[in-house]
Amino acid sequence: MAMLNVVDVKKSFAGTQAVRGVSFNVEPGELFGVLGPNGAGKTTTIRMILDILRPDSGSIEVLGGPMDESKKNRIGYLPEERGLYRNLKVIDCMVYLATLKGIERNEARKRASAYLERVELGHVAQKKVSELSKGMQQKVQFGTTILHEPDIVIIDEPFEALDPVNTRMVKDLLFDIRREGRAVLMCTHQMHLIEEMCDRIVMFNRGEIVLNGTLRDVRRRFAPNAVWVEGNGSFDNLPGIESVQTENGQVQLNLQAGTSPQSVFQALASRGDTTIDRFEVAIPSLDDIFVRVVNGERGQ
Amino acid sequence: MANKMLSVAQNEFIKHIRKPTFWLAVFGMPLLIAVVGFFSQSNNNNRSGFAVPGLGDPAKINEDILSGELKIGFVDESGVIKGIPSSFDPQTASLYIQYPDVAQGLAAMEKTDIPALYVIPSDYLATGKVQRYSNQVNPFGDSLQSSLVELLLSTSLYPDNGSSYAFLLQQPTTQLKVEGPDGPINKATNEGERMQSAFLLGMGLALLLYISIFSSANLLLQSLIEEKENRVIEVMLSSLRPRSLLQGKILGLGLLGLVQVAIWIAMGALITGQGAALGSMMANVEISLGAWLLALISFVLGYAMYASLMAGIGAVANTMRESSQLTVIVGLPIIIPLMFISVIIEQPNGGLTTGLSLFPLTAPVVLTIRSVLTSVPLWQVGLSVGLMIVTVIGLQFVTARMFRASTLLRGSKASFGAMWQALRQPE
Repeated sequence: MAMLNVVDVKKSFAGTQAVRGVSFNVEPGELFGVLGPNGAGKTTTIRMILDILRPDSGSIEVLGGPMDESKKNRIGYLPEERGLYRNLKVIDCMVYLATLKGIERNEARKRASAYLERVELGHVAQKKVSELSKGMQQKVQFGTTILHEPDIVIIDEPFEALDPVNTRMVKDLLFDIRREGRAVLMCTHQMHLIEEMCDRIVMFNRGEIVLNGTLRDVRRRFAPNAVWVEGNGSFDNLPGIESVQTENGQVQLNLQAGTSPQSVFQALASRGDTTIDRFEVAIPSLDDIFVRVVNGERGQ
Repeated sequence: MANKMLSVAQNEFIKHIRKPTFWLAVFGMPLLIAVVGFFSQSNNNNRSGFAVPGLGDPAKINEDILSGELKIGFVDESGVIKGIPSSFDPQTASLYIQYPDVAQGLAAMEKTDIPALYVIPSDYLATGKVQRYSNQVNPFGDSLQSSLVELLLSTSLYPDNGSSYAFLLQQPTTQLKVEGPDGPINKATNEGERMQSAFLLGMGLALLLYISIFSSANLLLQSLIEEKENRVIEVMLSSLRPRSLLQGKILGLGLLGLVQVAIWIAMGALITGQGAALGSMMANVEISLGAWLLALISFVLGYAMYASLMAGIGAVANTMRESSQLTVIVGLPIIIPLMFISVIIEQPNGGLTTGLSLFPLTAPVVLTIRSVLTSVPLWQVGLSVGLMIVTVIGLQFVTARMFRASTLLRGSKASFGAMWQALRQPE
């Protein structure tokens, strides 16, 4: 059973179509990445999943059926724009938000204290939220998202304002959730984190999903049929090479159709006057793919 | 889901009751009134004249007496009054007109020779009660007339205590127990004390509603706008239904408002020493249990209606400034009954009064006043309460949708289009 199943969902605001027939699903034990430029429809889609907004058409199934009040207790949400009561004590704020997820007050207090200790914020439990640094607030907010042990965690830019140490801490928490068979849907513009953490991704552009699949599949789809080479000597006049591009000391050999990287490597290795320091099949970064998709490219 | 609603209510209550600004408002307001009252009293004491509790401004009383407008008609069936006491000065003595029986007294009243007729029944000495008949309503003037009858009675019974209107001014006597007659003359049964209590209860309810609503509504608006600004509301809406959120806030802040008002009333009674007097006045007035119950129901429904309206404003406004103008407009209907208070009291079953008691936004105050003054037809009570309940449900229906409106989450100004779209969405 998919944790989340979004089918052909559409939503308009005052005549502007914000989401145009979006479909995807998230499986148990999966870290699912959602990418896209600002205004692409990601947040609107998330709000529809959470039942904050209602879709104009299409269907959204959460944990095997339509969203209802009891299922709201099984979802954790970290919005892009953070929401904490600035004048409440950290512990009180966490406890209150947990009670809204159906956790009994005393239990919520225990869990909140344990969480704060884990993320090294035990000493700020009695401080007001407004007295915390942005990074600390971010960790508190993340805590409110997972305190009720939700089956689905939906997080928008979870690493914003976090230093590398705290980023690692939050990543570990997310990996724990995945290990426990729960699901994470993560929106972020930090492509390297998507590359490092996510199993599958969807990319939104102008209200549509323009990419959907595993990271490996997506990258292959955008792979240029080329190899990157670094070394000394001449890389010209190799068989099966369509063109040669050089940038920052790295040579990209664009292959003709039917030419394999292995045959190029063998040809290079057989040249006595050429040494090879690095040879790599050209796979585009997610950053590259993102820019290319936003510019209208759909891949192969 | 009720638990979530109660969680919201509890949080709102605790969050605000812990704020120093709340306590500043709670204690600052009575203190301010006390200070103003103190200076005002000092100022009054420095004047040549003085006000007498229950009688009003002596200058005005003198004016009425000199112009001959003030006449006290009475019928003595008890034999207590043996003519106008000789100790009365001529001016005071000229105020009283004695009639041999009730019929002639009422006839004089119908001809407007006298504004009211007091009947001292044969068992007056045993009961201490006097009946009062009047076709006119003047809560404060009635009090003056009653006091003058009391002067006549007390001077007749205890001739050594004083002898004139001047004595009354210097030493106001205790409240006269005035009762409306039972029986057939219902046409002329607007008893002054009942008028006063209706007036005071209506005014009191209107003020209580106004203060509760605006102090709570202000907090409600602040709370909503704060949550919109710091985006907590998005997290909230991902956890519970908009209606539960709305109801929780209204409940929590409503209780807070009641705490505030209760403290004000208690402090007011303590500061002015009027607690006992108020209790005594209310004890002297016969207000049925049903009327009290109706007043309570009206208050609760009135608060729920106006709080829902305020929450609606909070849902569409992004700043306190944006909301303040709307708040004043929404609060206007509470004042309307006060503008027509004399009509409402004089004609408790008149068309305007009935209409105002059926219109949900004015009903809480007007229905309460009517229920004290007269026997309101049961169907009108049912219809009025029913309409208030329907209005509360309708307002919460609309406001809950406003909460979901995209404008709430986008921080942009609410357009009619966006609001219409929000209303059409299922909750």
